[in-house]
Amino acid sequence: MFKRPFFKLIKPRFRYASLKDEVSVTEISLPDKAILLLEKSEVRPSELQGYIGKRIKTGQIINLRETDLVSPVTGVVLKISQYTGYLNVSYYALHIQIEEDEIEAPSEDYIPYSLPGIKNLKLLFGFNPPINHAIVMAVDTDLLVTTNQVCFKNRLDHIKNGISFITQRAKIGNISFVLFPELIKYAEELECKYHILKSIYPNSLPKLIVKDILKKHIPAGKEPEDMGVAFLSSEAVANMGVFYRGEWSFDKFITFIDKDYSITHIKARIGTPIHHILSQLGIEIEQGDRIIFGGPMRGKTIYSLDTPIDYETDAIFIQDSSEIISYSDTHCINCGECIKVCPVNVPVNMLVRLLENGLFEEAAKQYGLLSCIECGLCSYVCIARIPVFQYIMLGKYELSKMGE
Amino acid sequence: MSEQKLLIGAHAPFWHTGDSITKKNLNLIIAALPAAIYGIWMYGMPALRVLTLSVGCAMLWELIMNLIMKRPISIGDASAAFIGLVFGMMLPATAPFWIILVGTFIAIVVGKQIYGGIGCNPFNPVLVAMAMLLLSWKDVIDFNAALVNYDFGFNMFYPLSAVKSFGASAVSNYNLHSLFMGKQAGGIGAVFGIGLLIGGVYLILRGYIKWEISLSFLLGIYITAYLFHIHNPEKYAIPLFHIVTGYTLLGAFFLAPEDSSSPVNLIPKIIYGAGAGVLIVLIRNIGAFVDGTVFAILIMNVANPMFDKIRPKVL
Repeated sequence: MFKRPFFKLIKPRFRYASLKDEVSVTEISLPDKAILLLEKSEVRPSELQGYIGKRIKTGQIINLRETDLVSPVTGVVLKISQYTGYLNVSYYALHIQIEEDEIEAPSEDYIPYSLPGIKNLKLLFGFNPPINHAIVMAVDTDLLVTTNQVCFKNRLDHIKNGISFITQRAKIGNISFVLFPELIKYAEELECKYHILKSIYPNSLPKLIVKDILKKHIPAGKEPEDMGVAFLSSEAVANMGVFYRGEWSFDKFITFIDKDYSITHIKARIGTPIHHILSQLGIEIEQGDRIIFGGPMRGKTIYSLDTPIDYETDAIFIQDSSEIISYSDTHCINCGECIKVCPVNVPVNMLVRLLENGLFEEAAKQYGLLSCIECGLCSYVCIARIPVFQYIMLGKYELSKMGE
Repeated sequence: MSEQKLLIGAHAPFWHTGDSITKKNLNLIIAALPAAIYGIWMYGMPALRVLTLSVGCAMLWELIMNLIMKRPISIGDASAAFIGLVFGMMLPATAPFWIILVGTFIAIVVGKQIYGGIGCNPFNPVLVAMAMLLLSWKDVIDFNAALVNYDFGFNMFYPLSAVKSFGASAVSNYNLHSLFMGKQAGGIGAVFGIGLLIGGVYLILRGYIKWEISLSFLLGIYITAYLFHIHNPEKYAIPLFHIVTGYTLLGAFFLAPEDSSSPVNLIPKIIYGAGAGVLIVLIRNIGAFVDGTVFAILIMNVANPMFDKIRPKVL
């Protein structure tokens, strides 16, 4: 953990992890049982019930109400259970007894809903307003994580095909890459347009890229997609390339960060439960440790060792119980650290006073709640240890509920 | 999903600087110690008595208020101790016990706790107490009367009273260098300029106070005093004299940048600091009081929420 330095004249500056040496990727074998998560809002339970006891093949398309599920594994559906994730999103969990892979190749004109690295691929097809600029992220959005950089470096051929997929199939002509200076030579090999990013957190967050590199203003509460800009991870583009060649790719690249901050790059099938990865890597979890999907600033903790690898699980971060700092319910003391550190000038000190009292609408109207880009730096620096980021996400969640 | 043991969940971020309010207040206390220790060295036991009584009473009032208001015990965050220490440092070594008792009561109870404790006070609690004392028991805070029995071999007439009464010519009775080194009459912890400066620089380097406020505060005093001085050099003292006397340096590093009563955005911080500096010199040169630090900063505290409306555009 990066502690406060003794002398602190300037605000904290975090550098993103960068790749210096060649990276070897450890392959995680298929587990005995896999779990696939399906958002409840997109599925009718009756549709799923019919699959219990049936065998599904890798690449088989299961048509559902709002979406399709392309099975990443071959096996028999054992049961369906329920799971609640971040921001109260509910899922059905399909438990599958794994058998040997039997692959059903994708048909010519089919577009899958998800590929490893991108949850919603349909974004590129018929989104309103139409996407006219695809930005491929060869950078990662959290500290310590290097998944996208590894994919960019190691899978250039796939990415080339992925670019063809985007231009030919999705008909998006304007593609550019975002990368750190260390990876320029690979971008030149690709002969593509690219933007160099300073390797300082949180520069790689999509909204900041739109503001700093595209020089466009995002109105509060809007996402880059609403302005016709889609952000794709380099891994997603690589997998689009594999798909464009008429094959499936269901392996997710993951940066595994252990308790001692040693890093292993792994490759695991979508649906692999976390306990299987831990046992393959020989890692013991103790009482009070945290398992985080994502990095230290923006990740999400999971509460069950059965939680599977999903399409956008870029990193697994194991945090030792001794490193956990608990938050407090002290008042804001107005020290101004959050104001100094906020990359988008949100008046956090005022915002937190409103959020603590549940005044979410006023917070959005007057103090830029919806302009927050969710970097987490305000909580990191808070001297009163107020869970600022938590309050902000709570405020955004409550507002989205009010809007419904 | 299954019967396995559950893990502990939490929201991002999972890192923290490791800083806390307690650490901050302890650092403020450490930074104030050089000046306080100089005061004890100079006045001996009476000064130690004032400081310890002040810190102790402040913490006691805080504890009593915690119990009465059924709030969590908060003396552990060292905020009350710091308030007590700074309050003691502003008093003369001869301050009677009851003035300390009343003063800390006003600081902690009226200045801080009734607003809801740390972070909620609209004014600097120490200054609320000092303002009350200045208005109600002026004689006790009158350094010329209070320190009449002390003789350290340097001019023991309170420098600010001297210029107030006799004009700029009185400055020649003092040596700026020895004033800065603490050879002057005044509050226990307010006279040792170099100690306060070292403490202040320590706090700025460690990022515990808003350096913009300290800097603009000193600049505000300097420039205003300079303008007065060139306008009428006979009547108004030179700017450096204002910097090294009275509560100026204590104000710059320990009173004006108090967290909850000062702004957080850059431009408001500069207006706040400079405004307090200007007011101090106005009060000292043409106002009714000998030293204006207490009231000047209090006035800026009142205006603070208005200043903080000046802030950069979001995203």
